Amino acid sequence: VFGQIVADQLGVAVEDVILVEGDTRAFDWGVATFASRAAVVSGNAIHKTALLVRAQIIRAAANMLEASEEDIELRDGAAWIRGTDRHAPLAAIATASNPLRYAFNDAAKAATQFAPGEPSRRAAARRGPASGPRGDRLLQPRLRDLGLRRPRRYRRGRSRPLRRENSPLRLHPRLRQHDQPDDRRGPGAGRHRAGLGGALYERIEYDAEGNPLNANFVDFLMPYATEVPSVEVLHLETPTPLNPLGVKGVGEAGCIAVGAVIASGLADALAPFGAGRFHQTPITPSMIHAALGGR
Amino acid sequence: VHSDRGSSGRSTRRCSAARGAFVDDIPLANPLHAAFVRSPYARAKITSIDVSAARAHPGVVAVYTADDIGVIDREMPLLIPHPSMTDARTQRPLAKGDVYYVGQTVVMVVAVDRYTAEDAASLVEVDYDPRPVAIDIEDAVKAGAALVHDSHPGNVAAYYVQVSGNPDAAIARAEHVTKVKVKVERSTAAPMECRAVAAQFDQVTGELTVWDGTQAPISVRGGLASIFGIDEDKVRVIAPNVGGGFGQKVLLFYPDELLVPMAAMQLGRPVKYIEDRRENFIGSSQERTQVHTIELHATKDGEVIALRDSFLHDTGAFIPYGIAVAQVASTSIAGPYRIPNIWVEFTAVYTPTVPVTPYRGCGRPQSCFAIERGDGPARRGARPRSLRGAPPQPHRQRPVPVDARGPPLRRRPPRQPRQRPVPARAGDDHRRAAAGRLRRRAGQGAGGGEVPRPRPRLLRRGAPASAPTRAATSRSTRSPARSTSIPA
Repeated sequence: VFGQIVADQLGVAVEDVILVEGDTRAFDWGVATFASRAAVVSGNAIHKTALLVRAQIIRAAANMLEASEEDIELRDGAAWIRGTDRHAPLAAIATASNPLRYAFNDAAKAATQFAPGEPSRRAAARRGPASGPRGDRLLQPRLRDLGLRRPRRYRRGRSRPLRRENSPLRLHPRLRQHDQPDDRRGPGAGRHRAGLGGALYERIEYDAEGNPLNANFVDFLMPYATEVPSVEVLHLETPTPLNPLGVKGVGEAGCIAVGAVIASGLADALAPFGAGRFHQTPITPSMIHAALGGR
Repeated sequence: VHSDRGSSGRSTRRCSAARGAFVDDIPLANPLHAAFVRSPYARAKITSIDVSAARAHPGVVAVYTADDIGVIDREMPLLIPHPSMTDARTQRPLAKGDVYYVGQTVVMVVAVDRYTAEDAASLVEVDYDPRPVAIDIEDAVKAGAALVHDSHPGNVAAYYVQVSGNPDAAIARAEHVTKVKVKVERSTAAPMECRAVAAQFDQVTGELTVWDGTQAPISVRGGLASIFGIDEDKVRVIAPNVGGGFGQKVLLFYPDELLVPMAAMQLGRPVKYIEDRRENFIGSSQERTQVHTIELHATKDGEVIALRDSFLHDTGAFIPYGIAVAQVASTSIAGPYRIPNIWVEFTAVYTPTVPVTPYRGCGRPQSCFAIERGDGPARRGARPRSLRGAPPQPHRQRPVPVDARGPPLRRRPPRQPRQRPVPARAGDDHRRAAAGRLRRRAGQGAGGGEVPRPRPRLLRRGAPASAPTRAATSRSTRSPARSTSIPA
């Protein structure tokens, strides 16, 4: 999802977005991944950062391509003048934006076809050397662009670029919200499976002395691929006005209602047989059998 | 909570394709391995621990009991304090004097490999004096039930009431009630990869590096730095691919998350601990057990005007997350429906079982199950109208705003004063005591309209803060209430 958010703004392939996560040396601050919050909190921070980077790219590209900023569009890893085939790869723009770091590669070769103008030089002086020819250097917005203050330990002395190492952004260690990175609306079946487990199978059993009786995957039933039905997901899109992406956390949503839904369904289905009380989960086969009067 | 924790799909796929790495895949130079001696009793006093045979076992480098772990021999922090708890109990890294659930860590053995460590662990002799237990939460709150913590009579860890609207008046004028008792059983996150910790300490630079299958590396770093007295810059915590967390992998701290770094610093070699599946079942957090008794009170034409719910929440042997799970269940009890008057109470109960912390859904599956089953009988009844079958209401009163944008936020009602929590009282009279406090604070009878109440979630989107006050129908003119009581 994070990669998709960046890719959408910068017009690059999801695979070209490199995510660094889960290492306290890469992030100075954060909370954790829980409460279905990663897409909402981190996702929006990343989105806002990507918007700033996008603006910088368009500014630099307009300069290089001698076009107005309104005519620049970003797609396929390059900045294009709308309606023409004239374009500059992002790698070239990145290289040209920072002449102090000269990389002997294709990007540098492409970049030298253009004469970077004043804005880029200023940007270069402001930001100092960057670390790689591809996307990384683009991810260095100024703190004040983000409306943020420098972390205290960096506040004194020379201005310092916002790098991943000292980012005050809330970047959370990991997000695996969706199995399909190129479709942020397509949740995996995992959370429904988790709900199904609670509804029909999963129960930690203790004996009267407090010994767990089923502390293994043989005795603790959980739905395997053989039990999980194919889940068709219908999307009801109601973007929240409370964050720029309009996203809501989905990590937990899918599992919450499953027990209630299955119990209601069973109660309805078995009502003609006079059985309708499913007041406990998991609803085991023997409970259904008993509800039918053991017939 | 808590638990997005993400699905494990992508990381699992990456790791099974030999890209990416779980903690156990991190190459360490000449590492030592940890294994634990765990309590075989749900509740017992430890009378003696003899580790001499384990220490003498070839290949064993160190054996730790609670007496050998210095600064970390302490109760772990209460992560989310709340005034509804008194003297909230949390776990120590290694049991000291008492054990509180089967699986609690008592001794840690560090050896050249896991096999040796486990062999040596089996040589540790611990004498226990077992004590009686009450495992079922409904038994645990009965008078005279065996106690988990002597400090908590009735095994009551927390008691809390939330009120919205004027439930007593609404209930008094209701003409139909359905009452059901529902139960949700305990489950576990069962992540693809169990928890794991590896640590390495550089004696020259003083840097501690910890690979932890956690959802919260930043928090773990801060905790380690503060507990061990190391500068935060000298602690690096890396959460590589964790194989699914679902809430189970964010707790400050599991015993191994402190003991393994401590051993690495003391022994001068990398140390790792990889939880096995059995240990995950008996040593890592679980969730879900709740018993709700829920009543839906309706008018003759079927409008549900009040909800009353009383539930027990099983918090296991300790309550490190405070009332998080129970409170989420409590505040989401009305589900997506607009019910103007709500009274909900819960009692969080200690049981001598694996501690409970938020697991994917965090109380919501329980409350969802309760309200939906509570509505079941109403739906089949002849006259009462189901919550779900209710005819469409004017937009601002519709149970679920289909357009989740809702009305503009500025139309929110003024913030209501937060209801002051009611602290748990010892013994059987805690509910009465709490009700008395409520009455006193309100300066009138229980359920008086002036009781300060939390702003209900349902009404945030622009509906009035409470239903228009309607005088309760006088008893003389009201027809007798029909009652349908459905036992569990």
